[in-house]
Amino acid sequence: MTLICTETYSKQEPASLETYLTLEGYQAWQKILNNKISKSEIINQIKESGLRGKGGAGFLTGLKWSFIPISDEQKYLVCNSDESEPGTCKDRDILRYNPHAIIEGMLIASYAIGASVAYNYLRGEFLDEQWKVFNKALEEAYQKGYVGNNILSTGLTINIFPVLGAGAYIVGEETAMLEAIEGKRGMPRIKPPFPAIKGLFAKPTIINNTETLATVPKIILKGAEWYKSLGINNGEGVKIFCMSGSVQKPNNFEVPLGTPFSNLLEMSGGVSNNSKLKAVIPGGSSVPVVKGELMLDTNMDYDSILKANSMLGSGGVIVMDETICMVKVLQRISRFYYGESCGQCTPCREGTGWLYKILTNIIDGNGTINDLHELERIAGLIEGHCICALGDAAALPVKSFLNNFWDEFEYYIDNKKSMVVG
Amino acid sequence: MEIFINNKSYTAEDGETIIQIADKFDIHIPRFCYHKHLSIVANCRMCLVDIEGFKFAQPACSTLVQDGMKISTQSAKTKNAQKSTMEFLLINHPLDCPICDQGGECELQDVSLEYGDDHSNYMQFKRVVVDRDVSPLISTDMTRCIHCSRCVRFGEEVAATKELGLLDRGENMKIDSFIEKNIDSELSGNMIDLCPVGALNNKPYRYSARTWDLSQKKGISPHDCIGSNIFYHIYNNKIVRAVPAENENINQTWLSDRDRFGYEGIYAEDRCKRPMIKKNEKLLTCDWDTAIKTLNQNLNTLKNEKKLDSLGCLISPQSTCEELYLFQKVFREFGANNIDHRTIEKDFDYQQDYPVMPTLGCDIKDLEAYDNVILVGVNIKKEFPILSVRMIQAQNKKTQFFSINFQSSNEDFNPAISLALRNDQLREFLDYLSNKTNKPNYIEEKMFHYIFKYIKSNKKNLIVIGPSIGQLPNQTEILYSLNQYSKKINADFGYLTEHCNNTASWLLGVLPHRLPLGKRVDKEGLNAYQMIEKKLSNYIFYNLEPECDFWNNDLVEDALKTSKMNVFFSSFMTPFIAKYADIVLPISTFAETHGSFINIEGSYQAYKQIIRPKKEIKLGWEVLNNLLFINGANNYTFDTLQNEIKNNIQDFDVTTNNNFKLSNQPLKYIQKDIFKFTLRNTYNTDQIVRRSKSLQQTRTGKLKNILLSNDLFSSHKKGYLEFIDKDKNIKSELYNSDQSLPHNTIAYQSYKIGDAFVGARTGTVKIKS
Ligand SMILES: Cc1cc2nc3c(=O)[nH]c(=O)nc-3n(C[C@H](O)[C@H](O)[C@H](O)COP(=O)(O)O)c2cc1C
Ligand code: SF4
Ligand code: SF4
Ligand code: FES
Repeated sequence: MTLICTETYSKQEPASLETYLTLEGYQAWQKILNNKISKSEIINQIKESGLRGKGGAGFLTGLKWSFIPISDEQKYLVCNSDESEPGTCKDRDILRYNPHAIIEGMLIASYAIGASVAYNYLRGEFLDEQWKVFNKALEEAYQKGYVGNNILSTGLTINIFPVLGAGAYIVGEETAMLEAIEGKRGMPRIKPPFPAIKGLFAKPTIINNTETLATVPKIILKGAEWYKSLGINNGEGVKIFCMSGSVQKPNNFEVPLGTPFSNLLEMSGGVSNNSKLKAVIPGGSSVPVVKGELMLDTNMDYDSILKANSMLGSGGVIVMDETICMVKVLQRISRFYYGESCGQCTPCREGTGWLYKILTNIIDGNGTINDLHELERIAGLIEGHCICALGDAAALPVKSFLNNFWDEFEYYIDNKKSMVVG
Repeated sequence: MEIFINNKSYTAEDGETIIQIADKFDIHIPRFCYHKHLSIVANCRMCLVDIEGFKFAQPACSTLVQDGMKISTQSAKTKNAQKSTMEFLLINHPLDCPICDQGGECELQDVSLEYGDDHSNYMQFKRVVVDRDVSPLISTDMTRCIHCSRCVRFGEEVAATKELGLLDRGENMKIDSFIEKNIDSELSGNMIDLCPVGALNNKPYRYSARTWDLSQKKGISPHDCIGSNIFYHIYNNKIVRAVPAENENINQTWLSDRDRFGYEGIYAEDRCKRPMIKKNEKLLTCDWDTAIKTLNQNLNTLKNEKKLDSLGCLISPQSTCEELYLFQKVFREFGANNIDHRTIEKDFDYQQDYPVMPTLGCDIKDLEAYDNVILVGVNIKKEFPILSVRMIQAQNKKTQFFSINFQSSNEDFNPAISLALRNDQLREFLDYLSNKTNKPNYIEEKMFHYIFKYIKSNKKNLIVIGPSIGQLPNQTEILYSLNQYSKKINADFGYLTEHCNNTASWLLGVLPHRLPLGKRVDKEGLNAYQMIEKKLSNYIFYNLEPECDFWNNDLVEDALKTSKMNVFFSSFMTPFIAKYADIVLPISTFAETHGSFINIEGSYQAYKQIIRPKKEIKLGWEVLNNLLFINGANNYTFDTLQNEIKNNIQDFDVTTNNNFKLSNQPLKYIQKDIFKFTLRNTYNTDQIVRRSKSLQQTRTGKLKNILLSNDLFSSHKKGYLEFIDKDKNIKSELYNSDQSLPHNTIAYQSYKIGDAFVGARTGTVKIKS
């Protein structure tokens, strides 16, 4: 299987520059500089490769880059390493095992959009390990002259600055991240204007996920067709899936898009607790839950998962076996959004707490059937009425959990305890 | 382009939002976070409207119109979206409307009436936010906050001083100041107006009335020369609060705290309540008839004995146009020549060449048309807070500000250069800018570099002279040098004046050397300083506080002591008046009379009586009119008086050049010893503001320490300060150092009765070591 972001993981000293160089590291970057490949050519290659953003929304990366206006003004690139979506832990490992791929990807992206300054925003919890590894790699890259002023004597300038977050999930939302980098309170902005037109410090800015950027160098080196062809079963390219929850060997797996979920489950050692598969959240806690049977028939690519009424999202696959109580899971998810709402828009600020409190009431054995209707109604009032997608992310799980597991919720209310043991 | 709202067609421009079009055509869309003078954040989600082609309702405040867009403000989708926002807002909002001052004018209450439900589905605990005491002017009930962030954006965008911010997140997000009692900007009261609910309320007004019982009268600010428009709210013939009256040309939708809370001074305990006359060394109440007759008799005696040269007639430029005009008219009819309003000045050598009426040199709203504005002798934030708003707006449009003052000005906008100079240095500095000879060595080279780089004669430049210049013993010299410089850089010339009606005082001839409209007098009288210094035998003081409103209050006391007759037309009974008055005539404040002011851009603004005065207090203009009448002149009504003034001034061209040429180059002022000056503190500027209880409780209101420049402070080791001001020995423990003062300088912060102000406003002192 072809590995891109995770290629270094199995090597000795995976994060070192030497390791990266032995795996064709910085060759794409040198190719661009030596052959003076034009910006538009790079954007076209990325477009043709069909590379989609791996941060959650799955937006076509090449298309996004092409929105940058052609002008002399300052532009910025931001790498989104805030990875806080529950169930997602892929960027964490890229940062610690393959930081140079991120740096090279950031360089290529910056070059393509004409940015002389790039930021990598790491979540605060990465302070102890990933932050250090990334900074060390960046230092090496500076020393080698890949980054900085007058890169490899070409006269080109691109500086990369790492930024450390302070523990807010919402800063992963791209415009909140821009606010945070500007030194303000991390709250999403209204769109339009989109960052590509008016982003960081009101200048054109592209924000991409860590995995997206770390994938870019190999596409440039080996071509768009090569990348596309890595996918199977109508999928294009590859994606890291973070297998967690009720699996024997939780891990990150970089697999072709289109890989059947059952294969992925097998790779992670199958369902744990000697139990059967009950449900899967296939793309991080913000996406709708899917019943186990349906998931076993689903391939891991954008369209297939959409057909299963969910989304591929960030690739955080949360597996749940039959011993898991859905009421408790939903309560836990709701608590997360309640705690992480930035608080600026009314439906999200007031609604997330309301949802969580009703669910807690149910868990405490004080729920009524009417509460379930109320949960659905409130989720409906939040959905589509907020500034950023966090509001929807809080509403969608509620709807899908009730939709798929209504009986279990009813049972809990009637019997004041969970339907499943445990 | 054409858009459709509720199936009706409207024309709209590219870049407009749905709410702007709706507002233009009076189509109601509820909103909380949107405000036309603040940035758009679309966080309250109250304005959601149904737009064809969109799955969900979209915010009208942030959605730009597009050609052919079809919007419905009435459809079920719109109503449901708005209802859901309302439901969310109300779950945590307390139901304490009956005890909330906002009740009756609460935007949430209004919308709730329309969209709210009559019961709540929310069965959980409601959020409670602990309140802190953030300001003497604003009361907080943060449990009522709906997080619209208007107050925060006001601080960030309009006042450019962020006093309230958002803390925590999600449901626990709250509006708070980072430091307790931290709200003390000069514009903080605007947050009260902006807050759509009762979270931020007017503290002094708290619980004093229900809004529906109030009546409203329009007034013009008497506290500065900007002339902000104000609505006074009245309950039982008492002003209980003030809010801005919108005037896009002047104060827009804002009001300074001084204008909002200044009126409280009217209700001070030391109001003069009855006419009084001194008999056997005792000041006793009498009736109006006796008071006026005695005054008239005394004046006529002076006239008959041809002793009017011994009469000094002084009036405050805080008086209305009608009072100012009648004042000079009455005393000129008697034959007096010593008439003046410039009581805070010392040096009058400039007066022959001065413009007929000083103005800003441009309309207030046009400040932003200048590339460079050079402010000399003024701290806008402290002295003209409402103008800060305009200057921040101008700065956002790329106007550069340069500030030269005796203390480096702390402004809400960011002057490109802010210099602190002594009065002797000021002239050297200005002369160097004009002639490039004798470079002052106390200014960094890079400052000059910057000034010469940007302030060029091919740019649009404005020089603004502040009221502090008027207090200088060498004001003429500074005006002369500024004049030279303005020619050099081709600048417009403008003034900001001490009080609300200095412009009218000049125009209406309240001067020893000019009649109304700048006409020459036959015989020139004494100026304000001479009248005091020469210790005349008779004085008329109109609207003046002898302790605080003069260049040197010690000299005033000396003069009062020795004179034969001291007549006070006054609203307040000050200690000096109680001690030295022979006749006291209790007159109206600005609020108790009809009146008018001419603001610094030359706009004549009239207003009607706001409240009736107490029984024995008379309207100032009526008393003056009475004096005229009993001497055989025609009786004015207020209207005939106002018309006479209007007719007089209507032909006067406001745009006449402010610039003037001084005939003689003044001698160079030599500074000996330590330069001493008095700061014009925001809440000390006039007798009404000095009596506003709420304003005096603010941090600014409480300032009283004497400030020493760093060099003086560090060489001074005693625990108290002892210095000689003229021949007076002053001792004080209230002093500290101030980095923003130039070397060898000491500044008084206040000139309230009983505070540290002593002697001359500017001059020299010697410190005793
Ligand atoms: C509430 C919220 C949290 C998000 N958190 C992350 C995150 O942690 N990392 C990330 O890459 N994208 C996150 N996103 C998505 C970003 O807004 C953005 O779409 C993404 O970084 C774009 O990169 P991509 O196009 O490469 O996927 C989040 C979005 C929302 C609404
Ligand atoms: S949806 Fe929630 S997290 Fe997103 S901007 Fe609104 S309040 Fe903040
Ligand atoms: S205090 Fe008032 S103005 Fe400020 S956010 Fe709350 S409701 Fe809005
Ligand atoms: S007024 Fe539009 S969202 Fe608040």
